[in-house]
Amino acid sequence: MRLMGIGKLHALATSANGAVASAATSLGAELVTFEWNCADEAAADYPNARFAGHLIEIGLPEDNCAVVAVNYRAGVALIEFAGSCADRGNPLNHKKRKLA
Amino acid sequence: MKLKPIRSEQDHELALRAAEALMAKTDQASIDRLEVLQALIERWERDRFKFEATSPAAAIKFRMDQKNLQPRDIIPFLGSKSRVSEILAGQRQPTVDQIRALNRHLGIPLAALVGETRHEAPRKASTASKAAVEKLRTLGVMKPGEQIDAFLERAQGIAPALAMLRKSRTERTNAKTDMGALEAWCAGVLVKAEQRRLPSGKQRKRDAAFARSVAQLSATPNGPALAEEKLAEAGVVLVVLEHLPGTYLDGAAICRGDGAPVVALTLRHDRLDNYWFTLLHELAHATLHLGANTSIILDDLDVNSSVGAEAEADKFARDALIPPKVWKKAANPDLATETLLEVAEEAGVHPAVVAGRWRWEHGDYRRFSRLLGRGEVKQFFGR
Repeated sequence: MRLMGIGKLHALATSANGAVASAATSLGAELVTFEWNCADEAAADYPNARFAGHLIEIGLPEDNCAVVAVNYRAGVALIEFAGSCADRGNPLNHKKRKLA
Repeated sequence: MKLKPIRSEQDHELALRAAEALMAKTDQASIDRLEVLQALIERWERDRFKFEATSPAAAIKFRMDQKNLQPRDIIPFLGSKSRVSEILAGQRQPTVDQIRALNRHLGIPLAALVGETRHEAPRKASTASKAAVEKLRTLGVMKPGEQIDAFLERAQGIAPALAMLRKSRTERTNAKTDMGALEAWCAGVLVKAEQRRLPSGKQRKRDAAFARSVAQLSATPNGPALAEEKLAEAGVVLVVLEHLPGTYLDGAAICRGDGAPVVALTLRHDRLDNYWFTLLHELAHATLHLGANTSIILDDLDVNSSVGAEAEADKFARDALIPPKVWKKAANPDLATETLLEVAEEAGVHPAVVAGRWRWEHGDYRRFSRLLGRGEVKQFFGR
Protein backbone atom coordinates (compact mmCIF):
# COMPACT_ATOMS: atom_id res chain seq x y z
CA MET A 1 0.00 0.00 0.00
CA ARG A 2 1.09 3.57 -0.50
CA LEU A 3 1.50 5.02 2.98
CA MET A 4 0.71 8.33 4.64
CA GLY A 5 1.07 9.47 8.21
CA ILE A 6 4.23 7.48 8.89
CA GLY A 7 5.33 10.21 11.31
CA LYS A 8 3.22 8.59 14.04
CA LEU A 9 4.83 5.20 13.47
CA HIS A 10 8.26 6.80 13.26
CA ALA A 11 7.70 8.61 16.56
CA LEU A 12 6.85 5.31 18.23
CA ALA A 13 9.83 3.56 16.65
CA THR A 14 12.26 6.21 17.87
CA SER A 15 10.81 6.76 21.32
CA ALA A 16 10.02 3.21 22.42
CA ASN A 17 12.27 0.39 23.59
CA GLY A 18 13.69 -2.43 21.46
CA ALA A 19 10.69 -4.73 21.00
CA VAL A 20 8.17 -1.95 20.36
CA ALA A 21 10.59 -0.03 18.13
CA SER A 22 11.33 -3.14 16.07
CA ALA A 23 7.64 -3.92 15.72
CA ALA A 24 6.80 -0.38 14.62
CA THR A 25 9.61 -0.45 12.07
CA SER A 26 8.57 -3.89 10.84
CA LEU A 27 4.96 -2.80 10.53
CA GLY A 28 5.95 0.21 8.43
CA ALA A 29 8.03 -2.01 6.13
CA GLU A 30 5.23 -4.55 5.81
CA LEU A 31 2.45 -2.09 5.06
CA VAL A 32 4.41 -0.75 2.10
CA THR A 33 4.79 -4.22 0.60
CA PHE A 34 1.27 -5.58 1.13
CA GLU A 35 -1.34 -4.92 -1.54
CA TRP A 36 -4.91 -5.41 -0.42
CA ASN A 37 -8.04 -5.11 -2.50
CA CYS A 38 -10.42 -5.74 0.40
CA ALA A 39 -10.52 -6.16 4.17
CA ASP A 40 -10.42 -9.96 3.86
CA GLU A 41 -6.99 -9.78 2.24
CA ALA A 42 -5.77 -7.51 5.04
CA ALA A 43 -7.25 -9.89 7.61
CA ALA A 44 -5.28 -12.76 6.08
CA ASP A 45 -2.05 -10.86 6.78
CA TYR A 46 -3.15 -9.58 10.21
CA PRO A 47 -5.50 -12.22 11.62
CA ASN A 48 -5.30 -10.77 15.14
CA ALA A 49 -6.18 -7.23 14.09
CA ARG A 50 -9.54 -5.59 14.78
CA PHE A 51 -11.44 -4.38 11.76
CA ALA A 52 -14.15 -1.73 11.66
CA GLY A 53 -15.09 -0.42 8.25
CA HIS A 54 -11.96 0.96 6.65
CA LEU A 55 -10.03 0.98 9.94
CA ILE A 56 -7.63 -1.68 11.18
CA GLU A 57 -6.22 -1.78 14.69
CA ILE A 58 -3.00 -3.79 14.73
CA GLY A 59 -1.60 -4.89 18.06
CA LEU A 60 2.04 -4.15 18.88
CA PRO A 61 4.12 -5.41 21.85
CA GLU A 62 3.61 -4.13 25.38
CA ASP A 63 0.04 -2.98 24.90
CA ASN A 64 0.77 -0.68 22.00
CA CYS A 65 -1.14 -0.56 18.77
CA ALA A 66 -1.40 1.13 15.41
CA VAL A 67 -4.66 2.23 13.81
CA VAL A 68 -4.48 2.20 10.04
CA ALA A 69 -7.16 3.61 7.73
CA VAL A 70 -7.19 1.87 4.36
CA ASN A 71 -8.78 2.94 1.11
CA TYR A 72 -8.66 -0.37 -0.77
CA ARG A 73 -9.79 1.14 -4.04
CA ALA A 74 -7.01 3.72 -4.06
CA GLY A 75 -4.43 1.32 -2.59
CA VAL A 76 -3.63 3.87 0.08
CA ALA A 77 -3.14 3.49 3.85
CA LEU A 78 -3.01 6.21 6.46
CA ILE A 79 -1.49 5.65 9.90
CA GLU A 80 -4.02 7.38 12.13
CA PHE A 81 -2.47 6.37 15.42
CA ALA A 82 0.58 4.57 16.77
CA GLY A 83 1.32 4.29 20.49
CA SER A 84 -0.04 3.00 23.75
CA CYS A 85 -3.52 1.53 23.44
CA ALA A 86 -4.43 3.40 26.62
CA ASP A 87 -3.53 6.72 24.98
CA ARG A 88 -5.23 6.19 21.68
CA GLY A 89 -8.57 7.69 22.72
CA ASN A 90 -10.08 4.63 21.11
CA PRO A 91 -10.30 6.00 17.57
CA LEU A 92 -11.66 2.69 16.34
CA ASN A 93 -14.73 2.92 18.58
CA HIS A 94 -15.07 6.59 17.78
CA LYS A 95 -15.04 5.80 14.06
CA LYS A 96 -17.50 2.98 14.56
CA ARG A 97 -19.96 5.40 16.04
CA LYS A 98 -19.27 7.89 13.27
CA LEU A 99 -19.78 5.22 10.61
CA ALA A 100 -22.98 4.01 12.24
CA MET B 1 -8.58 22.20 1.08
CA LYS B 2 -6.88 23.40 -2.07
CA LEU B 3 -4.30 20.93 -3.37
CA LYS B 4 -0.80 22.39 -3.25
CA PRO B 5 2.74 21.26 -2.43
CA ILE B 6 3.43 20.72 1.28
CA ARG B 7 5.96 23.25 2.52
CA SER B 8 5.41 23.32 6.28
CA GLU B 9 4.32 21.21 9.24
CA GLN B 10 1.00 23.01 9.12
CA ASP B 11 0.52 22.14 5.43
CA HIS B 12 1.38 18.53 6.27
CA GLU B 13 -1.16 18.40 9.09
CA LEU B 14 -3.87 19.90 6.89
CA ALA B 15 -3.09 17.44 4.11
CA LEU B 16 -3.31 14.49 6.54
CA ARG B 17 -6.69 15.69 7.80
CA ALA B 18 -7.95 16.09 4.24
CA ALA B 19 -6.71 12.58 3.40
CA GLU B 20 -8.34 11.15 6.53
CA ALA B 21 -11.69 12.55 5.44
CA LEU B 22 -11.34 10.72 2.11
CA MET B 23 -10.21 7.32 3.40
CA ALA B 24 -13.71 5.82 3.46
CA LYS B 25 -14.82 7.35 0.15
CA THR B 26 -15.10 5.28 -2.99
CA ASP B 27 -16.31 7.77 -5.62
CA GLN B 28 -13.84 8.53 -8.39
CA ALA B 29 -13.44 12.22 -7.55
CA SER B 30 -12.46 11.35 -3.96
CA ILE B 31 -10.10 8.60 -5.10
CA ASP B 32 -8.40 11.00 -7.51
CA ARG B 33 -8.02 13.63 -4.81
CA LEU B 34 -6.74 11.05 -2.31
CA GLU B 35 -4.10 9.81 -4.73
CA VAL B 36 -2.79 13.32 -5.29
CA LEU B 37 -2.77 14.01 -1.55
CA GLN B 38 -0.94 10.75 -0.91
CA ALA B 39 1.77 11.67 -3.40
CA LEU B 40 2.23 15.08 -1.78
CA ILE B 41 2.27 13.64 1.74
CA GLU B 42 4.63 10.81 0.86
CA ARG B 43 7.06 13.24 -0.72
CA TRP B 44 7.08 15.37 2.44
CA GLU B 45 7.36 12.43 4.83
CA ARG B 46 9.96 10.46 2.89
CA ASP B 47 12.81 12.82 3.75
CA ARG B 48 11.74 13.52 7.30
CA PHE B 49 10.89 10.13 8.77
CA LYS B 50 13.64 7.63 8.13
CA PHE B 51 13.29 4.32 9.92
CA GLU B 52 16.40 2.54 11.14
CA ALA B 53 16.89 -0.84 9.52
CA THR B 54 15.39 -3.62 11.59
CA SER B 55 17.09 -7.00 11.94
CA PRO B 56 15.90 -10.05 9.99
CA ALA B 57 15.15 -11.72 13.35
CA ALA B 58 12.90 -8.84 14.41
CA ALA B 59 11.06 -8.85 11.08
CA ILE B 60 10.47 -12.60 11.32
CA LYS B 61 9.34 -12.40 14.96
CA PHE B 62 6.91 -9.59 14.16
CA ARG B 63 5.32 -11.61 11.35
CA MET B 64 5.18 -14.69 13.56
CA ASP B 65 3.38 -12.67 16.26
CA GLN B 66 0.89 -11.29 13.77
CA LYS B 67 0.19 -14.71 12.25
CA ASN B 68 0.21 -16.63 15.55
CA LEU B 69 3.09 -18.80 14.35
CA GLN B 70 5.33 -20.89 16.57
CA PRO B 71 9.03 -21.51 15.80
CA ARG B 72 8.14 -25.00 14.60
CA ASP B 73 5.83 -23.49 11.96
CA ILE B 74 8.75 -21.85 10.17
CA ILE B 75 11.01 -24.90 10.12
CA PRO B 76 9.94 -25.68 6.52
CA PHE B 77 11.27 -22.28 5.45
CA LEU B 78 14.49 -22.27 7.48
CA GLY B 79 15.43 -25.92 7.48
CA SER B 80 15.66 -27.21 11.03
CA LYS B 81 14.76 -26.44 14.61
CA SER B 82 18.30 -25.39 15.43
CA ARG B 83 18.50 -23.15 12.36
CA VAL B 84 15.24 -21.45 13.42
CA SER B 85 16.67 -20.85 16.89
CA GLU B 86 19.90 -19.41 15.52
CA ILE B 87 18.15 -17.04 13.14
CA LEU B 88 15.55 -15.88 15.66
CA ALA B 89 18.35 -15.28 18.17
CA GLY B 90 20.18 -13.17 15.59
CA GLN B 91 23.15 -15.54 15.63
CA ARG B 92 22.81 -16.34 11.96
CA GLN B 93 21.57 -14.42 8.94
CA PRO B 94 19.04 -16.16 6.68
CA THR B 95 20.40 -17.46 3.38
CA VAL B 96 19.10 -16.29 0.02
CA ASP B 97 16.88 -19.36 -0.28
CA GLN B 98 15.54 -18.86 3.23
CA ILE B 99 14.88 -15.18 2.50
CA ARG B 100 13.04 -16.16 -0.66
CA ALA B 101 10.92 -18.71 1.21
CA LEU B 102 10.07 -16.31 4.05
CA ASN B 103 9.14 -13.58 1.60
CA ARG B 104 7.07 -15.85 -0.60
CA HIS B 105 5.25 -17.80 2.08
CA LEU B 106 4.94 -15.28 4.91
CA GLY B 107 5.12 -11.98 3.03
CA ILE B 108 8.04 -10.63 5.07
CA PRO B 109 9.59 -7.73 3.12
CA LEU B 110 12.85 -8.62 1.38
CA ALA B 111 14.60 -5.48 2.64
CA ALA B 112 13.77 -6.38 6.25
CA LEU B 113 15.08 -9.92 5.77
CA VAL B 114 18.33 -8.78 4.23
CA GLY B 115 19.01 -6.48 7.21
CA GLU B 116 22.27 -4.68 7.75
CA THR B 117 25.54 -5.97 6.35
CA ARG B 118 27.07 -8.48 8.69
CA HIS B 119 30.03 -10.78 8.35
CA GLU B 120 29.51 -14.48 8.90
CA ALA B 121 32.13 -17.16 9.14
CA PRO B 122 32.20 -19.38 6.06
CA ARG B 123 30.21 -22.56 6.45
CA LYS B 124 31.76 -25.97 6.35
CA ALA B 125 31.50 -27.75 3.02
CA SER B 126 28.33 -29.87 2.78
CA THR B 127 28.69 -33.57 2.27
CA ALA B 128 25.07 -33.95 1.17
CA SER B 129 25.88 -34.09 -2.53
CA LYS B 130 28.42 -36.85 -1.93
CA ALA B 131 25.80 -38.83 -0.05
CA ALA B 132 23.33 -38.24 -2.87
CA VAL B 133 25.81 -39.53 -5.44
CA GLU B 134 26.46 -42.63 -3.36
CA LYS B 135 22.74 -43.33 -3.16
CA LEU B 136 22.29 -42.91 -6.93
CA ARG B 137 25.04 -45.49 -7.40
CA THR B 138 23.37 -47.81 -4.92
CA LEU B 139 20.05 -47.45 -6.75
CA GLY B 140 21.78 -48.35 -9.99
CA VAL B 141 20.82 -45.11 -11.72
CA MET B 142 24.41 -44.00 -12.22
CA LYS B 143 26.71 -46.31 -14.15
CA PRO B 144 29.54 -47.96 -12.20
CA GLY B 145 32.48 -45.58 -12.08
CA GLU B 146 30.51 -42.73 -13.65
CA GLN B 147 31.30 -39.30 -12.20
CA ILE B 148 28.48 -36.95 -11.21
CA ASP B 149 29.35 -34.34 -13.86
CA ALA B 150 29.28 -36.95 -16.60
CA PHE B 151 25.99 -38.31 -15.25
CA LEU B 152 24.40 -34.85 -15.23
CA GLU B 153 25.63 -34.23 -18.75
CA ARG B 154 24.11 -37.53 -19.85
CA ALA B 155 20.78 -36.59 -18.28
CA GLN B 156 20.85 -33.14 -19.81
CA GLY B 157 21.34 -34.75 -23.20
CA ILE B 158 18.07 -36.62 -22.61
CA ALA B 159 16.17 -33.52 -21.50
CA PRO B 160 17.53 -29.99 -21.69
CA ALA B 161 14.91 -29.13 -19.04
CA LEU B 162 17.44 -30.18 -16.42
CA ALA B 163 19.47 -27.07 -17.13
CA MET B 164 16.47 -24.96 -16.07
CA LEU B 165 16.58 -26.41 -12.57
CA ARG B 166 19.45 -24.17 -11.56
CA LYS B 167 17.34 -21.15 -12.42
CA SER B 168 14.10 -22.25 -10.89
CA ARG B 169 12.61 -23.03 -7.52
CA THR B 170 8.97 -23.80 -7.10
CA GLU B 171 6.54 -22.94 -4.33
CA ARG B 172 7.01 -26.26 -2.63
CA THR B 173 10.69 -26.84 -2.31
CA ASN B 174 11.97 -27.00 1.23
CA ALA B 175 14.41 -24.30 2.31
CA LYS B 176 16.92 -26.88 3.49
CA THR B 177 17.01 -28.56 0.10
CA ASP B 178 20.48 -29.36 -1.24
CA MET B 179 20.24 -28.11 -4.80
CA GLY B 180 23.09 -30.36 -5.91
CA ALA B 181 21.23 -33.41 -4.64
CA LEU B 182 17.99 -32.16 -6.19
CA GLU B 183 19.65 -31.77 -9.57
CA ALA B 184 21.09 -35.27 -9.28
CA TRP B 185 17.64 -36.67 -8.39
CA CYS B 186 16.01 -34.98 -11.39
CA ALA B 187 18.79 -36.34 -13.60
CA GLY B 188 18.11 -39.80 -12.22
CA VAL B 189 14.40 -39.43 -12.98
CA LEU B 190 15.13 -38.38 -16.55
CA VAL B 191 17.54 -41.26 -17.09
CA LYS B 192 14.89 -43.70 -15.83
CA ALA B 193 12.11 -41.98 -17.82
CA GLU B 194 14.13 -42.29 -21.00
CA GLN B 195 13.99 -46.08 -20.66
CA ARG B 196 10.16 -46.16 -20.60
CA ARG B 197 8.33 -46.69 -23.86
CA LEU B 198 4.87 -45.24 -24.25
CA PRO B 199 2.22 -47.16 -26.21
CA SER B 200 1.76 -45.95 -29.77
CA GLY B 201 -1.63 -44.86 -31.05
CA LYS B 202 -4.14 -42.37 -29.81
CA GLN B 203 -3.61 -41.21 -26.25
CA ARG B 204 -6.37 -40.75 -23.71
CA LYS B 205 -7.29 -37.21 -22.85
CA ARG B 206 -5.91 -36.13 -19.48
CA ASP B 207 -8.99 -34.59 -17.92
CA ALA B 208 -10.89 -34.85 -14.64
CA ALA B 209 -12.62 -38.08 -15.74
CA PHE B 210 -9.25 -39.66 -16.51
CA ALA B 211 -7.92 -38.55 -13.12
CA ARG B 212 -10.95 -40.15 -11.44
CA SER B 213 -10.27 -43.42 -13.23
CA VAL B 214 -6.66 -43.31 -12.01
CA ALA B 215 -7.82 -42.56 -8.46
CA GLN B 216 -10.21 -45.51 -8.47
CA LEU B 217 -7.33 -47.87 -9.13
CA SER B 218 -6.50 -47.32 -5.46
CA ALA B 219 -9.35 -49.67 -4.59
CA THR B 220 -7.68 -52.55 -6.41
CA PRO B 221 -5.09 -54.74 -4.65
CA ASN B 222 -2.24 -53.86 -7.01
CA GLY B 223 -3.44 -50.33 -7.79
CA PRO B 224 -0.05 -48.59 -7.36
CA ALA B 225 1.45 -50.80 -10.05
CA LEU B 226 -1.58 -50.50 -12.37
CA ALA B 227 -1.32 -46.71 -12.25
CA GLU B 228 1.84 -46.88 -14.32
CA GLU B 229 0.00 -48.52 -17.24
CA LYS B 230 -2.96 -46.21 -16.84
CA LEU B 231 -0.81 -43.09 -17.01
CA ALA B 232 0.99 -44.48 -20.06
CA GLU B 233 -2.40 -44.66 -21.86
CA ALA B 234 -2.51 -40.89 -21.54
CA GLY B 235 1.09 -40.40 -22.62
CA VAL B 236 2.44 -39.87 -19.11
CA VAL B 237 5.57 -41.64 -17.88
CA LEU B 238 5.58 -42.71 -14.23
CA VAL B 239 8.97 -42.96 -12.57
CA VAL B 240 9.65 -43.96 -8.99
CA LEU B 241 13.02 -42.92 -7.65
CA GLU B 242 13.77 -42.81 -3.94
CA HIS B 243 14.58 -39.41 -2.54
CA LEU B 244 18.26 -38.65 -1.98
CA PRO B 245 19.87 -37.20 1.14
CA GLY B 246 19.04 -33.50 1.05
CA THR B 247 16.22 -33.55 -1.51
CA TYR B 248 13.11 -33.47 0.74
CA LEU B 249 10.74 -34.32 -2.07
CA ASP B 250 7.47 -36.16 -2.50
CA GLY B 251 7.32 -35.86 -6.23
CA ALA B 252 7.83 -33.86 -9.37
CA ALA B 253 6.45 -33.27 -12.81
CA ILE B 254 9.13 -32.97 -15.49
CA CYS B 255 9.11 -32.71 -19.29
CA ARG B 256 11.07 -35.47 -21.01
CA GLY B 257 13.20 -34.55 -24.01
CA ASP B 258 10.45 -35.68 -26.43
CA GLY B 259 7.90 -33.53 -24.58
CA ALA B 260 6.23 -36.43 -22.75
CA PRO B 261 5.28 -35.43 -19.21
CA VAL B 262 6.99 -37.44 -16.48
CA VAL B 263 5.36 -37.91 -13.08
CA ALA B 264 8.10 -38.77 -10.62
CA LEU B 265 7.53 -40.01 -7.07
CA THR B 266 9.95 -40.63 -4.21
CA LEU B 267 7.60 -42.73 -2.01
CA ARG B 268 9.46 -41.27 0.96
CA HIS B 269 6.48 -41.86 3.27
CA ASP B 270 5.59 -45.29 1.80
CA ARG B 271 1.89 -44.89 2.59
CA LEU B 272 -1.05 -45.44 0.28
CA ASP B 273 -2.70 -42.11 1.10
CA ASN B 274 0.50 -40.21 0.35
CA TYR B 275 1.12 -42.20 -2.83
CA TRP B 276 -2.31 -41.53 -4.35
CA PHE B 277 -2.44 -37.88 -3.41
CA THR B 278 1.07 -37.19 -4.71
CA LEU B 279 0.40 -39.13 -7.90
CA LEU B 280 -2.77 -37.15 -8.64
CA HIS B 281 -1.13 -33.87 -7.62
CA GLU B 282 1.75 -34.43 -10.03
CA LEU B 283 -0.67 -35.61 -12.72
CA ALA B 284 -2.44 -32.26 -12.30
CA HIS B 285 0.85 -30.43 -12.84
CA ALA B 286 1.61 -32.61 -15.86
CA THR B 287 -1.83 -31.84 -17.27
CA LEU B 288 -2.29 -28.20 -16.35
CA HIS B 289 1.06 -26.59 -15.76
CA LEU B 290 3.97 -28.17 -17.61
CA GLY B 291 4.73 -26.35 -20.82
CA ALA B 292 7.23 -24.33 -22.78
CA ASN B 293 7.95 -22.01 -19.86
CA THR B 294 7.70 -24.57 -17.06
CA SER B 295 9.56 -27.79 -17.62
CA ILE B 296 10.12 -28.85 -14.00
CA ILE B 297 7.80 -28.62 -10.99
CA LEU B 298 9.08 -29.99 -7.69
CA ASP B 299 6.98 -30.71 -4.64
CA ASP B 300 7.63 -31.20 -0.97
CA LEU B 301 4.00 -31.62 0.06
CA ASP B 302 4.93 -31.08 3.71
CA VAL B 303 5.37 -27.42 2.76
CA ASN B 304 1.97 -25.77 2.63
CA SER B 305 1.19 -23.59 -0.30
CA SER B 306 -1.91 -21.70 -1.31
CA VAL B 307 -0.27 -20.23 -4.36
CA GLY B 308 -1.81 -20.51 -7.88
CA ALA B 309 -0.64 -23.69 -9.55
CA GLU B 310 -0.08 -25.53 -6.25
CA ALA B 311 -3.57 -24.78 -4.98
CA GLU B 312 -4.98 -25.81 -8.36
CA ALA B 313 -3.07 -29.11 -8.31
CA ASP B 314 -4.18 -29.79 -4.72
CA LYS B 315 -7.83 -29.28 -5.66
CA PHE B 316 -7.49 -31.40 -8.80
CA ALA B 317 -6.05 -34.25 -6.72
CA ARG B 318 -8.60 -33.92 -3.90
CA ASP B 319 -11.59 -33.89 -6.26
CA ALA B 320 -10.25 -36.77 -8.35
CA LEU B 321 -9.76 -38.93 -5.27
CA ILE B 322 -13.00 -38.05 -3.50
CA PRO B 323 -15.65 -36.01 -5.34
CA PRO B 324 -16.76 -33.00 -3.23
CA LYS B 325 -20.30 -34.33 -2.92
CA VAL B 326 -19.04 -37.60 -1.42
CA TRP B 327 -16.48 -35.88 0.79
CA LYS B 328 -19.23 -33.91 2.54
CA LYS B 329 -20.21 -37.13 4.29
CA ALA B 330 -16.69 -37.53 5.70
CA ALA B 331 -16.10 -33.92 6.73
CA ASN B 332 -17.41 -34.63 10.23
CA PRO B 333 -14.76 -34.00 12.95
CA ASP B 334 -16.04 -37.06 14.83
CA LEU B 335 -15.97 -39.33 11.80
CA ALA B 336 -16.52 -42.97 12.70
CA THR B 337 -14.40 -45.68 11.07
CA GLU B 338 -17.56 -47.29 9.70
CA THR B 339 -18.59 -44.06 7.95
CA LEU B 340 -15.07 -43.60 6.64
CA LEU B 341 -15.22 -47.03 5.03
CA GLU B 342 -18.63 -46.25 3.51
CA VAL B 343 -17.31 -43.01 2.05
CA ALA B 344 -14.31 -44.84 0.59
CA GLU B 345 -16.63 -47.38 -0.99
CA GLU B 346 -18.89 -44.70 -2.42
CA ALA B 347 -15.89 -42.82 -3.84
CA GLY B 348 -14.47 -46.07 -5.16
CA VAL B 349 -11.10 -45.52 -3.50
CA HIS B 350 -8.95 -47.22 -0.87
CA PRO B 351 -9.91 -46.25 2.72
CA ALA B 352 -6.36 -44.87 3.15
CA VAL B 353 -7.29 -42.06 0.77
CA VAL B 354 -10.22 -40.97 2.94
CA ALA B 355 -8.26 -41.43 6.16
CA GLY B 356 -5.32 -39.39 4.86
CA ARG B 357 -7.51 -36.52 3.75
CA TRP B 358 -9.50 -36.49 6.99
CA ARG B 359 -6.29 -36.37 9.05
CA TRP B 360 -4.89 -33.54 6.95
CA GLU B 361 -8.08 -31.48 6.92
CA HIS B 362 -8.59 -31.82 10.66
CA GLY B 363 -4.93 -31.55 11.63
CA ASP B 364 -5.41 -34.68 13.72
CA TYR B 365 -2.64 -37.16 12.93
CA ARG B 366 -3.49 -39.62 15.68
CA ARG B 367 -6.72 -41.05 14.26
CA PHE B 368 -7.02 -43.66 11.53
CA SER B 369 -3.26 -44.27 11.48
CA ARG B 370 -3.83 -47.99 10.91
CA LEU B 371 -5.85 -47.29 7.78
CA LEU B 372 -3.13 -45.41 5.91
CA GLY B 373 -1.58 -48.40 4.22
CA ARG B 374 1.88 -47.96 5.70
CA GLY B 375 4.55 -49.99 3.95
CA GLU B 376 2.15 -50.99 1.17
CA VAL B 377 3.56 -48.98 -1.74
CA LYS B 378 7.28 -49.61 -2.18
CA GLN B 379 6.67 -53.33 -2.58
CA PHE B 380 5.24 -52.59 -6.05
CA PHE B 381 8.28 -50.65 -7.21
CA GLY B 382 11.21 -52.76 -6.16
CA ARG B 383 13.20 -52.23 -9.32
